[in-house]
Amino acid sequence: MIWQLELALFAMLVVPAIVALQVRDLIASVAALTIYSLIVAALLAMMGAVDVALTEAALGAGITGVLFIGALSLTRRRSVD
Amino acid sequence: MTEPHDSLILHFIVRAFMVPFIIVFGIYVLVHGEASPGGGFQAGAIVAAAFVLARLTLGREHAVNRFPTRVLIWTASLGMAVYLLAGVVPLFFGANFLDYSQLPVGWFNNIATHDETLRARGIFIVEFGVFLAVLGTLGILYDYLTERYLDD
Repeated sequence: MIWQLELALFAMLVVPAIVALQVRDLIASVAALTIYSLIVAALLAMMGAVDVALTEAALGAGITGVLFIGALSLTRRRSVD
Repeated sequence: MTEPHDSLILHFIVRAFMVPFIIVFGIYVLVHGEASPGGGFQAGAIVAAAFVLARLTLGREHAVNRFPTRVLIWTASLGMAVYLLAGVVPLFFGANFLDYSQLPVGWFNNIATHDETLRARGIFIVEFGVFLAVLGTLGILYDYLTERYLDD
């Protein structure tokens, strides 16, 4: 486990999380969440939890984004708060 | 997100490479789940991702005609039934609920698994049930979220 790489991944993890919370366009928010899931999957694989990393990569970075966009197509695209 | 994409390259790549390889990788994760990372849930999620990719790219009508929502519902129900049977059947052989080392599947060892222990035979049956259930449920989720486009 290389701690520099892990620190870099954790630093990268903060950016899409903040973007997903702050951005007004909800599809951009879903894209940021997908990037977040991908970085989390890389982190989990580095920590040795390959089972969880597989699940996170397939569900978090794959299907959840599609389901979120499918749900967004039933409502409005921009957030109002 | 339900109309077929009109790029020929995208169709070719998805139909000839991505969907078959993702499904083969999912089956690999399922079969080797007892000895290496992976298992029924992960394999089901990976294969369901391939199905959703096919539905996104090739258009809803084409993909749904190949693998209808009705079949997905039956798949999920069959997975649940397999899991439940793997739990209930050991009760009739004098063991506890879900004690799959007592499942009467001695013949299964000759065709499927490299592991000689009794638990490895039963865990594959449970994993297969979980695989079918997760695959069917994730497909149903996508199909019902985009269902209103069917009427257009």
